[in-house]
Amino acid sequence: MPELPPIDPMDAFIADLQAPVDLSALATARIMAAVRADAARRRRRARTWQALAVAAVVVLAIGIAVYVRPADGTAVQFALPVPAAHEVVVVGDFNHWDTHATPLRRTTNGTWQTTVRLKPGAHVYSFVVDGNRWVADPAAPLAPGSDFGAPNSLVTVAPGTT
Amino acid sequence: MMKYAGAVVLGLAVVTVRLDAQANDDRLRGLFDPPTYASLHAVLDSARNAGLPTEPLIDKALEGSAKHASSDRIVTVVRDLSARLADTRTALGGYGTAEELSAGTAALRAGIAPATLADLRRLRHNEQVTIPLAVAAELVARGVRPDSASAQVLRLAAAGARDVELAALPRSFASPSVISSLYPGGPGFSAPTALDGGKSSGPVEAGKPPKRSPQRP
Repeated sequence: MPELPPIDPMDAFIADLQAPVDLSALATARIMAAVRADAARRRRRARTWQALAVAAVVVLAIGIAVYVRPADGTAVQFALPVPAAHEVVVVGDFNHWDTHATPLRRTTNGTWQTTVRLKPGAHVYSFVVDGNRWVADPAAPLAPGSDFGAPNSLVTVAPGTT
Repeated sequence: MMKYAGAVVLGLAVVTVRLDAQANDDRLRGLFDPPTYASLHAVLDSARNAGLPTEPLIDKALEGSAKHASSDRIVTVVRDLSARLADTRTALGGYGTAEELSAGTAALRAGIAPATLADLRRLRHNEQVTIPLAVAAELVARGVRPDSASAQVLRLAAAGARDVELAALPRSFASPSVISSLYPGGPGFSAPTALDGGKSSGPVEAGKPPKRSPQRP
């Protein structure tokens, strides 16, 4: 009786694993569709992140332009000679008529002054002395009309000068 | 990708504008009693629906509040300003930026004819007319007759003068209502005098006279 060659069970198992799998065409198509869908999803996700990154950069740039650049504009000096005053502020459309926003500093000769950067265009303003006295700028023309009693002054700011 | 980015930016811009409008609304709400706020809100809504800028109206309300004007007066003035802005826009050919409309309103109020606004728009159809309008108003405020002020500005605009050149024009005129010394004991103020019978001789240099204000530092 011939002797059968020895069979290693492990070899057989590996051979089984290495044998080509015979998939049906339908299964192959479904697998490939799933792979393609996954790739498309990943591409869309990447595009979304890229778009968000671009948008973030644009928004940051706009934010800097709008909120940080107020330092730009034309520097305009406001001055009022009131040596006896204790406090002088300038209010106008450029600081939304906030009576605390733009105080003037007293100089050695008694003139109060400050410098404000203004956007090009026409601006109306007034001084408030010691918290309750509204004073138009004696060095500037009066703005047309005085809707609330105390007249305002007028300054025209040209673009492109600093 | 740019389409997505554009959409996101547009969305954020809309949110920013809304937040800004909300902030302005909150500013007014904090300053006025509920009935006054409601009246102002109605004026602002009406202006917004008409495509008019609301910032000049809000500023006017804030000015009234700062000057302790009565609520009725503030509402009346803001409503009147809204109507003036609409008139200005009409005079400017039906459109204009907030700055143009504000400057144009001041010019009309100073006595500049609506036809001047239309002429300026025609002469500078590709440029803003804010500075020419502001200059016209300032010339009148300095004592120049409205028709003369209009003629000067139109002449310069027709000659292609730039904004910076136009803006230099009023500084060669003296203020008609200069108060030489507001405060007894103060150092007083020496106003610039009219130059060359009203013709420009160039802008006053910074610091000359020393108390001229506002001026380029």
